[in-house]
Amino acid sequence: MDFQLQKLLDHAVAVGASYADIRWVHRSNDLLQLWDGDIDNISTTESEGIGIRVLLNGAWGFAATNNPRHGFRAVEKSLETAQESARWHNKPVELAPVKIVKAEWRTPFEIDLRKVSFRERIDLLCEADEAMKSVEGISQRKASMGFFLTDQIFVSSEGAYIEQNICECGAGLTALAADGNEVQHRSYPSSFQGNYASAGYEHILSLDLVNGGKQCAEEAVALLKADTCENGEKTIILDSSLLTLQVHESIGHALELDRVLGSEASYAGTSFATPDKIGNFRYGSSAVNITADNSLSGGLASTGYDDEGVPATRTELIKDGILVNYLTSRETAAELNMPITSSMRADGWSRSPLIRISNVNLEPGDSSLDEMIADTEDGIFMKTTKVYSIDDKRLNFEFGPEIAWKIENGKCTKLLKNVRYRSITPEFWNSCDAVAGEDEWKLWGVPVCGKGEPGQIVHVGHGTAAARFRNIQVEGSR
Amino acid sequence: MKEKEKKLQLINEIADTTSADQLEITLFSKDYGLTRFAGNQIHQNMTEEDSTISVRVFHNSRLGSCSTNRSDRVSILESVDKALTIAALNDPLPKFPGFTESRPVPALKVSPYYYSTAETDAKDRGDMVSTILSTVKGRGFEAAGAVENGTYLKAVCTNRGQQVHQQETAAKLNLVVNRPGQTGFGTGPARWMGRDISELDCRREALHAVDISEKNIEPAHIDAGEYEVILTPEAVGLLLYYLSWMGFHSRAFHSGQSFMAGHIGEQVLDGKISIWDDGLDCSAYAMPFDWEGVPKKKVELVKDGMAMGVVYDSVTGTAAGGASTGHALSLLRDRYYSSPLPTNLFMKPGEESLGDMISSAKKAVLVHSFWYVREVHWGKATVTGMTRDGTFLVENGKVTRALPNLRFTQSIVEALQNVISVGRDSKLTDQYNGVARVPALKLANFNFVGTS
Repeated sequence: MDFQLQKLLDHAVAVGASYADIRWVHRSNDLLQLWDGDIDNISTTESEGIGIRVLLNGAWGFAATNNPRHGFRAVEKSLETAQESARWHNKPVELAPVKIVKAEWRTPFEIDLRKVSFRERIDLLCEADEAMKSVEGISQRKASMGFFLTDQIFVSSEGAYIEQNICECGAGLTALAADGNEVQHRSYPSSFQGNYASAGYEHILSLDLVNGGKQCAEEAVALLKADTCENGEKTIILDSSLLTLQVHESIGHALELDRVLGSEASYAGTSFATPDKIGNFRYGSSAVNITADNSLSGGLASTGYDDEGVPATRTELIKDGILVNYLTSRETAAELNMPITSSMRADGWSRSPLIRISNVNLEPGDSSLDEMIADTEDGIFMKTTKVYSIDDKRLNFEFGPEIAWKIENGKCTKLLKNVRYRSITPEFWNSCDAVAGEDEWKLWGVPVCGKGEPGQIVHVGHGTAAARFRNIQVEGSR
Repeated sequence: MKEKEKKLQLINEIADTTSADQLEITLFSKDYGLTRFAGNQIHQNMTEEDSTISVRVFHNSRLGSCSTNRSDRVSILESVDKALTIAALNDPLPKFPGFTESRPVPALKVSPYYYSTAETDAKDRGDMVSTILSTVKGRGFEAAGAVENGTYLKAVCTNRGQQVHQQETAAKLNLVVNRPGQTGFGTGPARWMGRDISELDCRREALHAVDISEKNIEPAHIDAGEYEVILTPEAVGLLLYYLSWMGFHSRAFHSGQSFMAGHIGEQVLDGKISIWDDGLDCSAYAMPFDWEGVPKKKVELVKDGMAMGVVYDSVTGTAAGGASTGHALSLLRDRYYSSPLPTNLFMKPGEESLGDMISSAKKAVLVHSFWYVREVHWGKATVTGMTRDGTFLVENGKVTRALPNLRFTQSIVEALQNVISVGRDSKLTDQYNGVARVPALKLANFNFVGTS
């Protein structure tokens, strides 16, 4: 690390910044990807640089550089941009106070990713690919594995010095079947490149890719001949992985306070969950309890501190169905006098942190998947996200699973394909009458959440257990 | 020697002296700035400089790659060594065609580099934002959006003799306008992109957005169902992008997912529709080579409604018994997207203005923007998504009412099989991977399934 962080920080303050922070970040990402058994991409990508954020005249500026010789130039640019921001800024930015620390944090792991050879990873993915290939009728196979190693230092003019070493990894498989008339695919362990976690290689070994590969390939082929369902209102049961994105889109994004206050209006959109609803809005039924928790072990957003130096914490967002908190930054927490939720994160050194979904979880209930199915006379059980779209206020959505089964008289019967369901966010969550318990609760990691201009991709986690929803509009026809 | 020449000389020298059987080095440098605003205030303002070198080796028939954003000689050589180490662990790839050999790339007719854009700094962007906010505020509205500009250097060089590069500029405005205190409601959009930022008329764009927002009030209910639609170029651009992602590339085509699979030479869309990709056409974001250094050329995808072909990179082209069409994406792309893809899409304009389309409509829905479009079924390129930033009812030749944002679930193929008319003016639109220059469209049937 060739950047002289303290000197740069001192310079920013000396020339007028009322607050400054600098993040040095070094990322090393390994990607391994197979298409139909051939290694299409086997690569390591390294990126290192600093991002300098300043407050000058009550307004934000930011500059980033990968060039160690340009550190002071970057400080000057951050101040220039802040100066311009102040031209159209009504109220000086205030930051909610945070305990200033000098700290280190490392992702706990059992098997160090740095010690797992590409050969070992290739062998595992090839074995999983072979398992998919062994199923007759598969027309395309994809297998991928990613390692993300991030070393970062956060320093602030308030005196914080936080060093973190974060390791994340995951893998996923997709099998595609086509018969000339119909195309179906199945993913394992979930869509969106698989399942990722802040953990060592033990996470990938726990995924059981080989058995999962065979099963998802068999299901993809079976789906070609599956039935479609009739359109209409149904009881639906969503598995844990499908609920991951449901929570993400209709709760996680909706409760980002920068979005609620309009900062994303031109791009990612706004939110129906306006501040007047805090403490009194019934977001969901009493079975719906949502937390944000980046202190959870293994979550893909788990860290010791966020990118403003706020320690990891657990916050109730929805309690017994009532909206009680947002995901906040120091700035927005001060603006609405709300708790700081350790949710500010940047996509590497080159981006200014934004409020991001951390590990946003549907807390376990007291039912079980088997109980819910047994207790359903006429419904549909759905697994793994395939279709996902939501409006710019996080209200109107359409989702669909990769695979579904008709439930008749308490039992899963016919296999169903091309199922989708539509609803409006509060109506949907208020129709939830059961959530499976803690022993079925699973923490999923999604490595592809986008927001902001310029675009920022961050890694998020969602803990969920299967849940049941009544009277939801289901579509089965094309 | 200038920074650009130094960088190019360095990667060319390393390629020329490598011990690897085959070596490919790509360079992507940027010097970028953005000013972002919401609620008539600037809330984000930033600059970024970065330069990433990606190295691929093909050694002993094995492939390996490594990228770094340290651009000194030692770091690049370390990356070459890492790529060789990775390759040694890889399995042989007998079907891999090798990196690009020395081939001329066509010269662009118009320079992609504009000093006006390259020299725009935070103060200049601040002035532009001031023009936008003053204009919008003067009409009693408030704005959210971003002005951005950047200078980029892209280069590919191989030890098989290919050495190509392009220095270019790009700028963009994204703007939505609404009544004060009604963020996200009754919005009107304006979007502009181009190589030359001096062509961006901030006042005109701001007034355009206000004009739409002004009409976007008291939305009326309409029942779900099929409607005739008039789509602005912004809306058409996103649909075309999804049609391309789901249909116009080799991986979708040869797996049977694409609506084109098995139908080359057949009528698949309305005869008024012609679509092609052309990396040499400077009315889009031309770049005469792809990220493997393969020269670009015009590729007909759909001509007068007939399926013509899809795009390939070197791997998929060879696997299909042909060759690359020059559509490899960068190694640094978003992993969601597979290579290859069309990145410079065009749809052939027609003869009607947007005003003509409206005045000749008995009853139609006018859509300014689509939002959060996602795949439903690949075979017919069926997608779902929402309208956004201005959806209106057209009755008896006039825009009569604002409508709420509408959800649609629609096969793009079927929508483009019944085209009433194609707009005469095309517009450059920004897409996830590349750009699309497209006209407005008037379509006979479009399936809306609900509202927000």
